[in-house]
Amino acid sequence: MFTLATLAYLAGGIIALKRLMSDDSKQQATPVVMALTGFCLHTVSLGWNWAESGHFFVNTPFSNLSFLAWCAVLVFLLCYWIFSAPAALASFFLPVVVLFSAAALLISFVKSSETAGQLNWMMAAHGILMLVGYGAFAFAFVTGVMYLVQEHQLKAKVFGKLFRRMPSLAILDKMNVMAITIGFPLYTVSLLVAVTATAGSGKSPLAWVQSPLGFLGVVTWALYLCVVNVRFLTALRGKKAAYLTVLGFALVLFTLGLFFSIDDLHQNIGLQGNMK
Amino acid sequence: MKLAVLGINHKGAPVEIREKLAFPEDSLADALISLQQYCSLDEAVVLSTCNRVELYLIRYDDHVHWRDVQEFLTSYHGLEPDKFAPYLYKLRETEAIEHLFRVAAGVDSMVIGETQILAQLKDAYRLSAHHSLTGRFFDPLFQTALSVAKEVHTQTGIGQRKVSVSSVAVDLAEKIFTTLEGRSVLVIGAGKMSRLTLNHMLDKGAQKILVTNRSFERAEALAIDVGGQALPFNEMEENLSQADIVISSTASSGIVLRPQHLREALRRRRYQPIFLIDIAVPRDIDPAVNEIDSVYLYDIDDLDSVVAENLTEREGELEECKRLISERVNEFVSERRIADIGPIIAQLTRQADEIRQTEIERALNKLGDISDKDREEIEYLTKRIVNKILNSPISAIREEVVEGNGFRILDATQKLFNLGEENEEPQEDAVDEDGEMDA
Repeated sequence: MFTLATLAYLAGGIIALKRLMSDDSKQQATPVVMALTGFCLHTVSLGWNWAESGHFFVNTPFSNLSFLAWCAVLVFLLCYWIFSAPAALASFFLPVVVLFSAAALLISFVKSSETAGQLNWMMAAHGILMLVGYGAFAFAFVTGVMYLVQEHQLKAKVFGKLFRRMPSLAILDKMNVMAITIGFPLYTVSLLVAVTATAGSGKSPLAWVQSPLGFLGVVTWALYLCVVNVRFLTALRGKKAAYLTVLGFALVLFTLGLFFSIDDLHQNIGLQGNMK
Repeated sequence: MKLAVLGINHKGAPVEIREKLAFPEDSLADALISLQQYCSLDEAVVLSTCNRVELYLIRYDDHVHWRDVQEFLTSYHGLEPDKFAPYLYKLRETEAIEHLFRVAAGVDSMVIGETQILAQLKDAYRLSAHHSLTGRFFDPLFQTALSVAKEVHTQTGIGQRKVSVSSVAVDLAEKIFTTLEGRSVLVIGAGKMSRLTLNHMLDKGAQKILVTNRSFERAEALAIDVGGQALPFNEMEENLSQADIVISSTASSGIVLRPQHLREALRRRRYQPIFLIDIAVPRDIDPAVNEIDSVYLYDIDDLDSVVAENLTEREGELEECKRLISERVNEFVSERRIADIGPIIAQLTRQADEIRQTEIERALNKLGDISDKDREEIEYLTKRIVNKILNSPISAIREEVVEGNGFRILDATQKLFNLGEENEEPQEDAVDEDGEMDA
């Protein structure tokens, strides 16, 4: 089912990219319909896994990436619906979703014998909140990239098909703000839950900051705090905010990579089961 | 039906010639009636714009004589016939229909894909209809032309790209702000171009309008016209932060807005983007402001280059438009041909039915008393025989007419069945009085 969902995202992404560069203005919503189809299949797949394992959230790289892709598509569909955004959004966003889904599939093949880590409810909440936050950051990243591309086209006076198909700067900026508004509080709460859980396990609440993964988590949080500050307090916007969201997501990707390769943190503080 | 179009347009005639043949709007109705009487026309439409003068003409019973039309034009405008004759084009039947469809769709316009011509064509048609100069041919023809024009505009990209400086400026503003509704506009310099661009912005929902000019009276006049507020020129800088869009078109020989003005305005407006349109020559706004984040500056050359690019894009759609129009012309001509043979087929079936009824009466007289049921059976039988005999030739006539070979087969039908001359012949092979083969 998850493979089918990935194929739907892939098909939607390919169609969206093709449409982006074509003169065909008909059926621009097809990629979004494909994304919605993929999302439904993906939801069924998550439900299936839940029923099978008996846990809503299990800690394997596959389930993490799959859930991350699902959250990202959810944020995308929400923003698409709220802002009536041009379908060009799908051309930029679906490739990112495909990347997550493909990585999940790849990991599931490579580590097919891996068993799910059993998590207590706090760590499950930590994982879920963090991944929903990451999904929102993924969307903020895409809208940030689109903003930079469109802004460059406006400044450089390049008016090709890409320029015509892409949304206005104002819409991209609003969607970016919305994604950060969703993502940052969830990410913050996720870290607070982790701190509370660490304290509950008898260790120092700040013990996790000493690991590379924990440190990166704090740096990522600080960066997004900076984005929020820029957005809501100093009112700086546009290019600077877009660059920050791109940088923030680069940190997220790096953190995820580190998490899947050398997850010292969760083991060291005794919050992880037999994942590795 | 004898459709003819005689015209002159921007492609073949300079404005010095076109303006002499143009009909002023206030005398167009008189000209139309005079033309109809002079040339004994049954239907007539006169399209007179700054780029073309075209006469769409019909006589039901004869060809439209080019000589008569040219004489009318000469006498009406007081011109020498030989002076403008080389610039005229003359089209008949299918070519004339195709020309009308192209004109309506803006394919034949100077600015390809423009829609003003559609409104002008509608007005011309309405004027003729008002004077009962449209009828069984022009009513469907012009209505089809208008619907084909709409179809061309929706099915192709001919009208998608904006081709005026002011509409391009609006498009760009929408790429920054999404919508202009509620946006504020500062106009620097109360010139004609500023007003034109501002009008486009107002149409799109721009609300707060500030106008400033070295002459405060001119600023006030424009502000009153557009429901805005006039500002003294020396207060422009401090009010710059209020504007989402700035249209500058002063006659100043130096720079009016510099980077420091924009930096200060941005700070005051909490870095909300500003769109600057500099349509002045020499330029009013320092090009360096485009380097500032959230400031987007477009001068007249930038806007002109977008217009040129959009025009090229529209030209790229021409082949598709022509193909679509050609399809619709063929459909229209086929429908008209079928409509034209209607009377002949009606006459043929009527004649056959008369023969049937006469023969039935004769037979019934010989048969004496027969039951109503038998009489009905005979009626039914003879009708079936007549229908079966006529079905095949009528289908063949229709097919041939649609294929454009109607003249010979209708002629043969009339001779074979001894039909009267009450119907008109198709025009495919007709030769006009000037010795030209009709289209």
